[in-house]
Parts: sequence; structure tokens; C-alpha cells
Amino acid sequence: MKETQEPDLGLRRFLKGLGLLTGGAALLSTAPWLSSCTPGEPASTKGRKARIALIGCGSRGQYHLVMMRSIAHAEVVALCDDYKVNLDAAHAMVPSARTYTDYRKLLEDKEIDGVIIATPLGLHARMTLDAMAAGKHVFCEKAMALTLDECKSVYEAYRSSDRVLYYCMQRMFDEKYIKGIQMIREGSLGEVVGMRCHWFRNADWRREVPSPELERRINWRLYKEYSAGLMTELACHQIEVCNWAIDKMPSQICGMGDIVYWKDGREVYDSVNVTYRYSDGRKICYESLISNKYNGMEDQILCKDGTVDLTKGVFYLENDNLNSGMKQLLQQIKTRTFASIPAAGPSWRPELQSRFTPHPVISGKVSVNAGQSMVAADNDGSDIILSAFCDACLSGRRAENVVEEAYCATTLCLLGNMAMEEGRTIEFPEQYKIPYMKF
Amino acid sequence: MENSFSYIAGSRAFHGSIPLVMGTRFDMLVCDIERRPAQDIWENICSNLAGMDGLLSRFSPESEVYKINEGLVSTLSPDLQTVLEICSGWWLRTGGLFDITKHDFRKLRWSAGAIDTGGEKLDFGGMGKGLALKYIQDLMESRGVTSAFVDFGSSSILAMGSHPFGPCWKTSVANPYEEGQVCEVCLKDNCLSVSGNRPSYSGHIINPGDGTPVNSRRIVTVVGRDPLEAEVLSTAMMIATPQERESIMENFPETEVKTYDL
Repeated sequence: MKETQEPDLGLRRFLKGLGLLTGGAALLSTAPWLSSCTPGEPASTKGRKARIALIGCGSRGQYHLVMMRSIAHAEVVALCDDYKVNLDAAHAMVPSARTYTDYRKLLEDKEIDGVIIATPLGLHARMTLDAMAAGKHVFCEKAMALTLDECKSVYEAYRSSDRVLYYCMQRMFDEKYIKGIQMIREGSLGEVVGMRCHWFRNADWRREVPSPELERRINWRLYKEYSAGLMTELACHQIEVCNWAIDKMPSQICGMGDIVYWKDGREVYDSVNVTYRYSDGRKICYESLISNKYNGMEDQILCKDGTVDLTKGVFYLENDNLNSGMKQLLQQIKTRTFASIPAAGPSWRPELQSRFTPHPVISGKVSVNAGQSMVAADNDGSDIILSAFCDACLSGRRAENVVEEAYCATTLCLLGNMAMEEGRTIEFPEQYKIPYMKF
Repeated sequence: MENSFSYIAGSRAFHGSIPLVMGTRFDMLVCDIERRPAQDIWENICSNLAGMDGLLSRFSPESEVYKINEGLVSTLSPDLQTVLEICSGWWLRTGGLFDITKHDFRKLRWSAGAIDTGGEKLDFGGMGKGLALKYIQDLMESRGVTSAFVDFGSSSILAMGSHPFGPCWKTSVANPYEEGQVCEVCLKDNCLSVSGNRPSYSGHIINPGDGTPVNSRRIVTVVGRDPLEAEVLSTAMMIATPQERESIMENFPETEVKTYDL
């Protein structure tokens, strides 16, 4: 590990903004994974740089390289891709890095502390297992793996290892999500009664292919050999948020999936509707469609007294604008009349509203991801989670619950696909349950 | 803290609202007033409500109460010491039924600048709105307000003077279990506090004597001059036995308490 004198300003600024630097026990109970990057042991990491390698130099990998430039406590020392075009592009971004075309050779490099895996989903499990076995810390793109068995293998390997493992579930490191979930868990908006998440785009999800034999490798998202489609690529983030909000796991899954518009030889659905049902009857209503973008992307947590749209970092109150009593009173004043004011009671009475006003979850400018980019969005937590991983590569502190959350979200997405393909309601299988899950 | 206000020039009335403070909504209507003095009052109220929320919140990591509850500090600010002394007085006057620890107030020990909670957690939820309304009552009186209706989360209402077109502020109390109202109260230079359960939010009041939540379908209304007194008594009367109610209320002859078992 190399020496540096520069502090990790981005991560510290983020933690300070959350209040963690001034003692944030309540926040840590909302987002316990933040404990891995709180400055509990600053002496252990001060002045050192984590040596990071990138496996998978496509668009998302190159995005991580850009993010790495602003992380002072880490440097990119190696790059790996078996597609020369992408490897060359990444190498041009980091000319000092060593290059590999076989990730197993890269893992033999003793001068690497941690690896970023940004490859197609079908490769995640094998590469993660190999990297941990080689003693590397791992930061892997979500989702965890292509199959339920692979998920279980990775989870068990992680449990028996002391290596750091992060999954790029960036919402878990996004301030507006953390503060929004804290607001929900504190009960400020009443009991959570349901969740609605959707992700709509109008694009074919394809990339340009220079030669036909590269079709399946470059457009890997469309083929089941590498991809589980919309569920693992998009829904995974959103399902995790729902579980996080109520600290429970759904026990039943049903849904319907189809190729509605993009009938171009792809194997994965371009339209999915999945319902996840918790044991107490609450549900996640999930929908994704990539031939219409009108509804954009939203993660809505519906509470008895309000709704939090975590994507936008705003909440809406059921009894917003005016309660009916105050509304009637103002009308009386304007019309110079006198009558009883139905204002009092032990609580607000719900009132149907035709218009709701958004209120910010956090102060200041909020970055909103419209969900239309195939690569990344600005300030969505991706930079913070990567910085936290690099910090953990130095301290060796594993982030509490990150792997467990990724496991839960990924298995639910894969079960969503199974429910759609088999056309039946699926009970969460016993063999894939882990102690972390609360049903 | 987010807030909004509007001035109805034709009626010389000012309406201000805060969508979320102290865990609920706040609305204020002041009548027979010019825009500028009304806005000054509103800014003062917003600033002080934010300050109280910051002092007493159990959830904000920045608040003093949060830090004390988490064991992060054992120091005590003069403001919080004053609030604790007020609570101590109400604990005595309610025979221990009003208890900010919801367990054993006697374990709290404090002196100028220091506090030892004895492992208890502080929860000012049963008096925060009353304290705020008492401040607002004093502020409005000092600014010469003659007609105002302040609604803090529907459970705490402050009435200054009377409705511009009526003899009082006639206020009805909703029945949370079915359509309709429990009672109607004529408020004039006094206040109303309502405590009770509702179908979706029950058991939030704890009997400090045995630690059990009060789950009964009961509504208590308290009408009196002092908003803090009304707030504290409405909570205590939810817990009190009929004998305790009678005994405690002997000390508050000017205050009217009604209990409705629904």
C-alpha cells in the first residue's frame, strides 16, 4: 500500500452530511453498513492508498475509473478485459496500470489489494469466488449472481472468509435514501402499508456491435447465458430498498413477464410486472417496461400518513395543504360566516386529496436519477460506495449487511423471474433462506 | 424547516403552516392583523419551533435529548434543565402519571450543567406541543393579538379571543373509530388538548406504573387556560383510574376534563 497525505474528502463530507461524524447511532441503526467507513480507526488508514484492479473495462468499468480519480486513498494499478477495445480504452484512462486479458492471471498479482468486478452478471459469482480465494477484497457490480445456487455459494464463501465484499447497491450509500428510510423507520409518516416501484425506459437496451460474432458478448444483457434481464439489472436496487424500509423479506412472489415490443431475438423480458407479498400482507408492486418512458423511475414507500418517493428525495403528506378543519375555517373567514371547526382529534383524519405537495427529505440540492442511462447517474451513491470500499480495503473492516442485502435482493429478483417463467406463485424456498432474513 | 404562509388582505387574516414539525403538522390563523406584524410573529414561531424540535427531538442526532439518550453526553444545557424542572413539577402534580421516562422519573438526577439519566430515556412527546403553544400564547399576548386559532397536530388547539364572526372558536372533536364527532367545544382565550388512541395508532401512551401501553378506545379532552397544563393532563388522564382522575383534578378547578370511552 502506497503512502499519501491527502484525506478522503468525498467520503468524509458524505459522512459529515449524514451526521455520522458527530455521533449517529440512529443513522447506523438505519444503515449499519456505514459503520465500516466511520472514522473509528483513522490511524490505520491514514496516509495509505489501496491498490485496486478493475476486471471488466466496459462502460460501467470505465465509469468506476472516472470515480476512482477523485478517491485520494486509492489508485488503480491493474486492468483486465478479454475484449481489446474496452481494455485499450481503459488503459488510455489509466496508462500506469498493468493490463491483463485473463482475470486469473491478474489475481496472482500480489501488488493488488482489491478488485472491482464490472463484468456481465453471469461472470460475477465465479470471479468473486476466485478473487476472495486469492485473498483479494472485492467490489462487485450488482446483482450478486445469475442463479440461486451461485448466490448461496458466494454468501457461504463470504461467511467463511475475512475478505471485504461490497456489491454496488449504491442506493444504500445515497443520502436521500438513507435519510428517507430513517424518516420511514422513525414512523414520522405512520406505518408502512405498501410499496410501489417502477422503472420505465424507451430504448432497446442494445449497444452497437462491430462484428456479428460479438453480439452475445456485447449485448449480454439480452441473453440468459449472461443476464437475468430487467429484474437483476434494474429491479434489484429497488427491491433492496423496499426490504430496507421495513426490515423484512417477502415470502411470496408472483408475476408476469413478456417480450412486448423488442422482438429482436432477445431472450429476456422487456416488460415485467411482479408482486412480492410479505407475511403481514404488505406488498411490493413492481413494474418495468422499456418501450415507454413516461413514468420514469420511482421508488415509493407508501405509509399511512404519507408517501416517500426515495428516487426524488421527497415525501408527500396524506393530509397536506390543509386539514379539512383549517380549510373550512379559512373559508368561513373569507365568506364572513361562523360555524363549527372540525379540527380536533387524537390524530389527523385521512382526507382524499387531488394534489400533493412534495417536501424535501434532505436540505440542499438533490440529485435525481431519471433512470434513463444504461451506465450511471451523477451523485447516486456510486462514488460514495466505491470510496467506502477502498477505505475498507485499507482498514479490513467489512461492511455490515451489504452482502446480506445483496443476497436478499438478488434471490428475490431471480425468484421473480422464476415466478414469471413458471406462471405460478412461489414461496421463498427454504434452502435459500439465510439467518439474516426476517419473513 | 419548510413552511408557508399567506395573507388574506380582504379579511385582514394571516395563515401560516408547517407540514412537519415535532412529528406533526402546525397551522396558525391570526385575524384582525396587518401583514407585517403577522409575518414577524410567524417568523418568530417558526424559529422557536425549529429550536424546540432541535432541543427535544428523540430522533435527530443533533439534538441534546438524542445525545443524552444515546449516552454521548452527560452535560445539560440551561434550556433543557428548565424543561426538566417543568416536567418534574408535572410529575409531582399528576402523582407520577406524567413521566417523560415512561418508566421511573425518580432515576433522573440533574444539576446545573450535568445530568445522569440512570439508564432511562427521555421522551418529551407528551408535552412538547403544549410547551410550544404556551410560548406562542405568551408571544401573541405580548404582540396584542386579539383573535387567533392555532392547531398543532389536531390534538392541541390554542384559541385567542374569538372567531371574527362568532362568539368563540367552536371546535368539534372527531371520533377516530367511526364517522362523526365526540363532542363540540366553544373555545375563547383558552385551549383544548385531546389524547387518545386511533385504530392505526394505539398503545403509544405508556402507564409508567407498570409499563403497559394504554390500548383502550378512549378519548380524553382537556379545556383550560394553560396549553402545557392541558397537554400534560390529557396524557395523564388517559392513564389515570377514575379515583386518580378525581384526586388529581381537585388541584385544577378551572380546568375541564372529559373522558369518552368509545
